[in-house]
Parts: sequence; structure tokens; C-alpha cells
Amino acid sequence: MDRVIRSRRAVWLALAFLVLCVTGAAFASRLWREPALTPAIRGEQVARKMGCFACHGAEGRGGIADPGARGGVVPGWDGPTVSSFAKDEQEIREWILDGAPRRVREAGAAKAPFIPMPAYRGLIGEQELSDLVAYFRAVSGGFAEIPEAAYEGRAIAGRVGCFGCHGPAGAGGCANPGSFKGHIPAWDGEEFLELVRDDAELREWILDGHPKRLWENPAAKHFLEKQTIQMPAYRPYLRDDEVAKLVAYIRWLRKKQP
Amino acid sequence: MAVVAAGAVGGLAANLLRSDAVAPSAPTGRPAAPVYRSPNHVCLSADGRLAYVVNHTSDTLSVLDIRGRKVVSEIAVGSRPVHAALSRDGAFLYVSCLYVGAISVVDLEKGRVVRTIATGDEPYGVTVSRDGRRLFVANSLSDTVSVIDAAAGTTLAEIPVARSPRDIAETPDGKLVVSNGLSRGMSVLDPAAGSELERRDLGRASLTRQVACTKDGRWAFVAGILSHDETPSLQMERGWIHSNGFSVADLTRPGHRVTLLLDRLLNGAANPWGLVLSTDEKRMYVSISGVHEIAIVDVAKCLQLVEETTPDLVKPMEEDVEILEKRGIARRFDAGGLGPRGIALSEATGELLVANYFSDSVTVLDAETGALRATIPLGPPQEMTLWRKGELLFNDARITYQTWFSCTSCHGEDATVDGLNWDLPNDGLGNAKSAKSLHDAYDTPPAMWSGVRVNMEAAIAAGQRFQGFLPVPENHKALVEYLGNPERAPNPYRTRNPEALQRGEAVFRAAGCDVCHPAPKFTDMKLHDLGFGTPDDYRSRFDTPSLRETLRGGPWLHDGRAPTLRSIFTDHNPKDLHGRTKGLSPQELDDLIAYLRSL
Repeated sequence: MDRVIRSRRAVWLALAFLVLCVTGAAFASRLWREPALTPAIRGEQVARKMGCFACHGAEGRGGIADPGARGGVVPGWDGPTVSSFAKDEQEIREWILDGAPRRVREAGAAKAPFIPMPAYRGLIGEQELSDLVAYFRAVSGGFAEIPEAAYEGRAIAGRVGCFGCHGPAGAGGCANPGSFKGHIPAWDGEEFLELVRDDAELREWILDGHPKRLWENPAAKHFLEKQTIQMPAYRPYLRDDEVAKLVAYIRWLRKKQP
Repeated sequence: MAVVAAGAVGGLAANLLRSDAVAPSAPTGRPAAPVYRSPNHVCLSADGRLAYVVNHTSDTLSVLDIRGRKVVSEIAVGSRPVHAALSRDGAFLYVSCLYVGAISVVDLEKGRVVRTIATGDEPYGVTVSRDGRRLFVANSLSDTVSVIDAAAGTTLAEIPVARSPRDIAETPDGKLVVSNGLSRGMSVLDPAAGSELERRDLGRASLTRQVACTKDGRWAFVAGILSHDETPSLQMERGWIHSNGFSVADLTRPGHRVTLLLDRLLNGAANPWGLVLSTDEKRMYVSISGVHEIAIVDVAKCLQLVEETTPDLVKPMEEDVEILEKRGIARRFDAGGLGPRGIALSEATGELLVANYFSDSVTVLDAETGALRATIPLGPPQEMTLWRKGELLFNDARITYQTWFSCTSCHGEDATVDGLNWDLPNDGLGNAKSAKSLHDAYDTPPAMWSGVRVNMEAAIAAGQRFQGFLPVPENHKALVEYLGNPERAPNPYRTRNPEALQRGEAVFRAAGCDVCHPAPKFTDMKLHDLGFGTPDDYRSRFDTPSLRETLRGGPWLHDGRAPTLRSIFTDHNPKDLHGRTKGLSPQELDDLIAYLRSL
């Protein structure tokens, strides 16, 4: 009788141990997993490696002084600034590869900048160039046709600071110790689907810092409370129409993903 | 049956609003044939027996025998004549020719142009001084008034005034009163000193046209529209979008003016144009070009009303659309033709002669009763082309609810601008936008500053709904034909000072202007966010405007914040986002502006 009980207890213990190991390993693997490397994140690394930020400023947000240039600075990569330098993405590639697009070279510069844009032809690989342009696209907003509501959503995201943690165009990449994923989730890619089931949940994320579904799940709540960088609850700072525009922007971003 | 009809109407509406409608591929401008006369002005011979009619689109002068009710001859003059004045001895007629930048001097005895006197750009109103030795010319594109020695043909002075001077009247003491078509004031000039003495504010007056003065030099009368821009464009039936009438200014009291309306309740008097005083100054005649009527104003009653209007009542008075009937200051009559513009009073016969632009006729009205006595056709009857119908509709307030205004009330008879900022409800209220020239709409979709209309056709359909009616297919077709083939006046700055233009083009490219404003349309037809949006705009991006005919636009930028081209770069580009224009030298800026004005 005792033996039977003992052996049953052993089985239970072994089973419990096994379950613990499996779930632990699963959690550990998730914790240690690197954020998915999207082209934009790889492009940011290319920009770092090639020295772009030395002149164009961190994240290409606006550059150092150039006493010889019109405007007196090396241009940033934000959309409004870019709009007087390049007609389309092809011209961005030409800026990177040749130091100026053909249109500008043919017109002949009336006044050359003191700090000329270097030509990276031969120094940058095809994949690197494509990644760098993807990153540039994220920072600048790119040349794509973007609907009115989505564009305004992008402007609001910039204004209230979303891109600070979520990266340019929500490309992700910022570490967040203690969180379930270990990093701040991107707005593109597959991870997003695990966290946001529908627009209602997306609004809850924005307004309350977490959706009701995850907050009511003890395990998820544990990670949400433990993460170092907490998603702020924007309820006091965003009007309904602004939230709708933000949602429109994120939906537009996701639609653009292949 | 009813269902079928409803379906047909629905299909029609859908057609009118098709977003994929194709813009006309090669705009023809005004069709070369047939040539209409389009009489724009009429004046009388010294003996009062003949009338001279200025034919705008046939570049001719028709000479009429008033009593004989017929055309006796037709004289060729310079391109696009608009206005004329008789020399004091009655031997010459000075005809201002818009496209030439000159006065054609017609020897009336010889029946031909004997001389051409250069003026400023796009001369409109011309007046001969009391002593007959000077010509005063309103240069509507140069924004100046030229004082010309009539005998020598030399310019003695060119006096800067406000935007687009249209008409000039001389006072007995030798001052000039000038109506400024694209500004809200009239200028008072001292031609001997070559200076502007006063720029008198006329409140909400817009597109002011003809001006006249009493013989005692005290009162000046200016015909024009009242435009309630900057406020939500609603309640047109109360005259809250446009009302129409004339301003009376006491020249002995600086700043004085009272504006009286010729509208009636439920019946606007769109686009007053011609204005003449009878010799005894008991009556004033005003042509109302948008509703094809003539108003006979009782000057005594009108001046009594003006005297009663204390400064605090000026504003309520200019908004009183019932004043005509309440005080009986005027009577309105049918002009007998379409598009009455210039008028002349034949006192010998007790008749008013009316130049009807769209009927190619001069009508003769009884100056007392307003009854039509005769219609004098200026040529054989010609059928209206679709384009011409479009031009008529563009000027015609009958396609607007209660005839308060026409397309021209905001865009001028040349389909450009009125220089005002309008708060249309199509992109939200509270964000007025600078009126755009319509010349570029046909090939630069989308339309409107916020791009709220996908293309010109959708904008024209929306415009008709804004005017209070659903688009009528026939009208819509004609308007599309007219605006799809815009008539552009020659740009006199295109050939002037080529070195400066070349330098300016280099600056244009160096500043990156060509990225969003690439030739030949000078727009990439995209929305851009250059930091111009305000909280009232509800949006950050605006449609890149074409830079063609920049010189006819303004005020510039979407909300008209830049009153001059220069201020676009000096005051309104702080972050250097709208082209890299920071640090441009004054010379570079001059060159850039010269280039922009040449496009």
C-alpha cells in the first residue's frame, strides 16, 4: 500500500518536474530571444557602421553645422527636410552611392557644401544598401502614398514620443529588461499579432498601457508589471480622433509589410 | 418609371464625380474661332452722336451711330482692348490694350490707330486729365498708375498703388481716385507730385471696378463686390458670402466711406461693374454684370443715407441687404443683354448705352424708365461654342442660389484669384485658404489646398453644389470645357531681364525648389508637410501648388500668410523646410522672385 503511494508520489513529482522544465525552458528561450531583425533594424546598424550619424546626427535626426551649406547644417532625414533634397527613393540611393543624385549633379551646384556627402559606391553591399534605405524610409516616412488619417497618425506618434521607444516608424529594437520579450515590441512583424488581436486592443494598449485581456491573465500581468520600461497610458493626452489616426497609421504600416 | 429615372440621375451624378476623369490633353485656351466681339466698354463722341465700343476679344473698336441704331465702322486696335477715353478735343480715342502693355491712339477722323503709347503691364482704366494734356493709366499687373504726357507719349511718373488698379477718376482739383481690384482699398493720388496721398480702406470691398467723382470733388463712388472672406462661407441667402453694391467716400474726410448694397432680399446683385454719373448728378447708373441688370441709383437719397450713417453704423449698413428697398435708393432693370460691363450715358437722347460682353451687343435703355429701346448687334449672330458657354456660366450668377455671386466673384473674370482667404467648409471650418487660380486645375490633380477634390471635374461639380444647385450636366460640360482650356494672358516678365531669370533659375534649383515644383507643371501634385499646418487646419500636409502664373496669385501659401513673394522666404520659412532659402543674399532673393514671376 505504502509502496504504491510512494511510487505514485514519485510519478507525480517527476511529472511536475518535467512540466516545470518544459515551461521554464519555453519561457527562458523567449526571454533570451533576440528581437526579430527587420531590414530597418539592420539598416540602422549599417548607418552606424558607415558613420552616417556622425554628420546626420543620431537616428539621422538632423546634423552638425556645415558653414558652407545653404541652411548651415547637414540635413536631417526627417520627411519635411528630405522633401527638398530627393524626388523619390531612387534619388536617395544616388545620394548614398554617388554623393548626390544625377539631377543635382547635372544641374551643377551653384554653391557646394563645405562638408560634401561622401560617395559610398564600392563600400556598401547591395543588401546593406537595401537595409539602409529601409531604415531611412522608417525615419523619413519615405515617399510612399500615405492616406491622410495615417499621415496625421504618424505626426501624432512623433509628437507624443511613440518613436522614442518603438523606434522610427515603430520598427522596434529597443531593449526592455524584465519584459516577456526582453525588448519593446515593433509595430510591424509577427510579434505584434501576439500582443494585439484587434483595433480595440490596440486602443487599450495606447490609452491604458495594456489590454484588458493580458491584464486579466496572471502570467502576462506578471511580466507587464515587472518590465523596466512601462508602456505609458496615454488617456489624458490623446483625443479619440487622435487615437483613431494612430490606429490608422499602425494599420497602414502593417499593410505595407510583405 | 420613377425608379428608372432615379437610376439615371444617380448614374449621371456618378459620371460627374468620376475620379478617373481624364484631363484635356492639349488645352487650347480660348478657341481661335469663331471670334466674338465681347464688348467691354463704351464711350461717347464729343458731339454725343457716336458711341465707341471696345471689343475685348476681336481687338477692335466698333463705331455706333446712336440715333441710327447701327454700327458704322470697325477699327482694329491692339491686342485685348479693355477700356478707352476720349481726348478733350474729341479727335482721338485712347484705348488701353491689356495684352500689349500700351495705349492704342485712334485718330477718329482717319479711323485707324496712329500711335501706340507704352504703359505699364496690363493697362486697364485710362482717363484723360481735365486740361487734356495728361493720360492716367491703371496698370493692373504692375500695380502702378502711369502719368503720361499725351502729346509726347512719354511717361512722366509711375505711381505705386495697391494690387491691380482698375479704374481712375480725376477730381476737379486734379487728384486721382483709383479703384484697386485686388485689394480692399482705393488710392487717392497726387499725379503732379507722383505720390499716393491716401489709401482708403473700403472694408470688405473686393474686385472693385469703375469709379466716378462728383464735380465738386467731394464724393467718390466705387462699384464692387463685398466679400465676407475669413469667415465660414455659409448663409449665402443673407449675403454672408458675397453681397454687392458700391462704396461712397467723402474725399474731404480722410478714411470716410459708406457701402450701400444693390442686392434685394432673396435676390443678389452679383458683380457690379460699370458706374457712371449723370451730368446733373441726380442719377448714377451701375451695371450688374453677374445678373445682367442695370441699377439706376437716386444720388440725392443715397447721399442722404450716407450722411446719416455715423461711423458705428458703417458696418451694419454694408451688411444690410434690404437697404435698396427700405430706402428706395435704386431701381434695377434688365440690361437687355448678357454680361453688361461698360456703360455710357447719352444725355442728348436720354439713353443709357450698355456693352453686353456675352451678347456681342450694345443695348439702348431709356435712362429714366430703364426700358429697353433698342439692341444694336456688333456683328452677325454667332452660336456660342461650348467654351464660350462655359465662360458665360463662369460669370453668370443665375447658376447660383438667389444670384448672390458667380465663380468670378472669387476668381475674377480671368479665372485667377480675388486675393482673399476663404473658409470653405469642404476641409473643416475655421481654416481659411488663399483663393487659387483655376488655370492650373485641369492638369494638376488633386484640387483645393487640402486636396479634398480628386481632380478639376470633381471640384467643378462641388463648386456648383456650393453655389446652391446640383450640377446640371450641360452646365457642367461647358464649365469643364472652359476651365479645362484656360486662357493665359502673356507673361511680360518671361522675356524681361534674361540674365536675372537665369540666375534666379539657378537659385531655384540650388534651394531644391525643383524637387516639389518640377517643370513643366511646377508641381509634383503631391501633399507635403513643411510645417505650415496650424491647429485649425486639422491636417499637416497640403497640395503642392503649381507655380505657373505665380505672379497672378497671392497672398501666398495655403492660408495666405505671405502677402508678398519675398515674405515666403524671409518670414515664413524659419526651419528652412520650404526650400533651402536661409542665407540667400538680397540679390539672390531678387533673382529668385524674378524667376518665379516669369513662370
